Amino acid sequence: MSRLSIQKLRKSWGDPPAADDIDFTVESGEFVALLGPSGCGKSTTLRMIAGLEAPDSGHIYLNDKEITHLSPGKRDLAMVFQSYALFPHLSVRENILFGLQVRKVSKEEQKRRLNFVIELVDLGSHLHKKPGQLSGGQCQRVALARAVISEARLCLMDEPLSNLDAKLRAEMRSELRALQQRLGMTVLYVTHDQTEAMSMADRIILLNRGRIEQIGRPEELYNQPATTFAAQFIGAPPMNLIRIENRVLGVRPEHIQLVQPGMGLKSSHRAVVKGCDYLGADTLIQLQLDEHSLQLRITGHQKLQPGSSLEISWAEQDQHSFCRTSGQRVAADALQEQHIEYTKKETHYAA
Amino acid sequence: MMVLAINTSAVNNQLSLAEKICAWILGFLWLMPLLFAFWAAFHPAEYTTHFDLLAPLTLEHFYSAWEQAPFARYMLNTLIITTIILGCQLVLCTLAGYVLARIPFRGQGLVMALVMMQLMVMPEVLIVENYRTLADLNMIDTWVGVGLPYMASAFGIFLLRQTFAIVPQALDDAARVEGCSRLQVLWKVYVPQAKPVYLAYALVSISYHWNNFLWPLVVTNTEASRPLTVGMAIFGAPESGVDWPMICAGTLIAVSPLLAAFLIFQKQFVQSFMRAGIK
Ligand SMILES: Nc1ncnc2c1ncn2[C@@H]1O[C@H](COP(=O)(O)OP(=O)(O)O)[C@@H](O)[C@H]1O
Ligand SMILES: [Mg+2]
Repeated sequence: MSRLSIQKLRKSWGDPPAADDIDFTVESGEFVALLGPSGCGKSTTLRMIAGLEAPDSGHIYLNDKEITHLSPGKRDLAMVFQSYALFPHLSVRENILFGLQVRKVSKEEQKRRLNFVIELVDLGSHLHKKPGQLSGGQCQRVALARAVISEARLCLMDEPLSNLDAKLRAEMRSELRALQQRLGMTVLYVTHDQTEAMSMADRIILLNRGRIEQIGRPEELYNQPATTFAAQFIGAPPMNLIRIENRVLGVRPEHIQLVQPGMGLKSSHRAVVKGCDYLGADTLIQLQLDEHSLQLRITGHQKLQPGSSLEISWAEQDQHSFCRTSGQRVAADALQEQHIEYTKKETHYAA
Repeated sequence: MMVLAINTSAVNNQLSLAEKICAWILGFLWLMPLLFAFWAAFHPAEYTTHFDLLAPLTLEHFYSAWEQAPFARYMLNTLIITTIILGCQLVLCTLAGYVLARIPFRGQGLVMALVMMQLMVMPEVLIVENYRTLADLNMIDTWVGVGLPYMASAFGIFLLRQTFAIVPQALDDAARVEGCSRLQVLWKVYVPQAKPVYLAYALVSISYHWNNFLWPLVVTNTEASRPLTVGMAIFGAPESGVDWPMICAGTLIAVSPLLAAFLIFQKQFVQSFMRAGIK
């Protein structure tokens, strides 16, 4: 029963504003990721929701109750910080119980919740240690336990995994998601890592320069990026963008296929190899298609000599089209009328 | 603490022989007056300037000193004055330091500059003006009167501001999200982390005010508020002919609580100073 609704939120310290015209909702039990490059205003937005930063204008509602001007402690939400923000002078146990003690929750209730949470995050043997004696992963669990034990309506997380090493991060990712599902937590999760957002979130809010670029399920962001920014930010390596006249064509590296030379496919193009990066499961190939640079991903270990040429093509449904000036996606039916497609330079000369 | 121990031993190893000798000489020079006071206080008057290992020991100077002046009352005054000053300093400097470190307000830079300026003003310069103010407040010859000019200590404010400023902002944020008010954040997050600084500051403040002389001399008139230092001076006043052994005994009575406290807590004090970065 917790629903967060943000309306026209704005915060500015100068030009451009750190967050502007932020509008979204998080439904009860939903895991929503706030995604964007560093400096795009994710933390600012989160901190305004937490009450740690006062918005210039706009409204924040939690369960239809306006909380825009409440102090952080009165908003009934929990927060997990990138640096964990554990109190160094308190033991793990005292850290986890900190909020309950401040809020004067009864001793029995504290004990009951503590036992439950300890089990959940597997911290039993460390209760009396100080944070300084724990590893990064363990600190992360303590921070998580402190958020879970509050039983708050909404849990805000600001890049909680970015201080962990890659392997631990991947483990914690699935563990965190499982925990959220099991407890039915409502989570707003800030990250700059698109894989993290894609793999964990029910929905993603993509931010760029303080503004919302696109909101949608991960597959929507991948399959129908609303702007060229979304197209390049989601997916690794980023989508190839080819500028033609007043349009931008986009094709993902994993959607480009190699064609046997001489098959005479109408839609195939000849490109020149510039270099290869072997990544293990697949190989990334840099290509030159006329004056455009492209990337292409194919499975297995492919050794291609720089300078050799390749025949490539892609399916029509894998091709995206954007307006060159606004960067906005051009709808598919509009496309069909104009029949935009990549054509070789020779045809231009001939015309 | 481990790190600290290793550091100090590493420093010890780096000291050359010459530096060690210098340190011993300085230490000895510093200790001389105290050693003399001990010698004079515990031996009969004829041995005061005549060193003899076999001189008989005596406590007579302590008895006569204790009798000649109301030391118990002076000691109580000093204790109360020092406690009042330290207590008020801790409260005021904590609040001011927190605001200057973490709550932005208009004119913050100016306030900080004023605090820094006060650091550079010798308190003795203000004696006349302070006396006038206290007379207006009717506080001459009271405990609070002796303490008042020192309560808003610029050194304390500056020290705590610097200490609070390096506490991570995220800890402050986390505590507030968990339901703490500003004062609770200060008490539960900032103060515990500044413990070594508080200890070091308290030591400096106590030893300064325990030994402070000029201002208490000016502002106290009677036994009601006169601290040990002033009492000692009156007691050793030359009209009565200087009785050095008795003055030494009196001095030892005066400094003994401080000396004992320092010897007992020596280790903690040194560690706390090193951690607080005051040397
Ligand atoms: N307290 C502040 N004062 C001034 N500018 C700030 C403050 N906090 C953030 N900013 C600016 O706002 C922008 C967004 O910052 P932030 O929300 O932290 O980005 P993100 O979390 O997405 O990396 C940045 O340009 C940053 O410099
Ligand atoms: Mg951030």
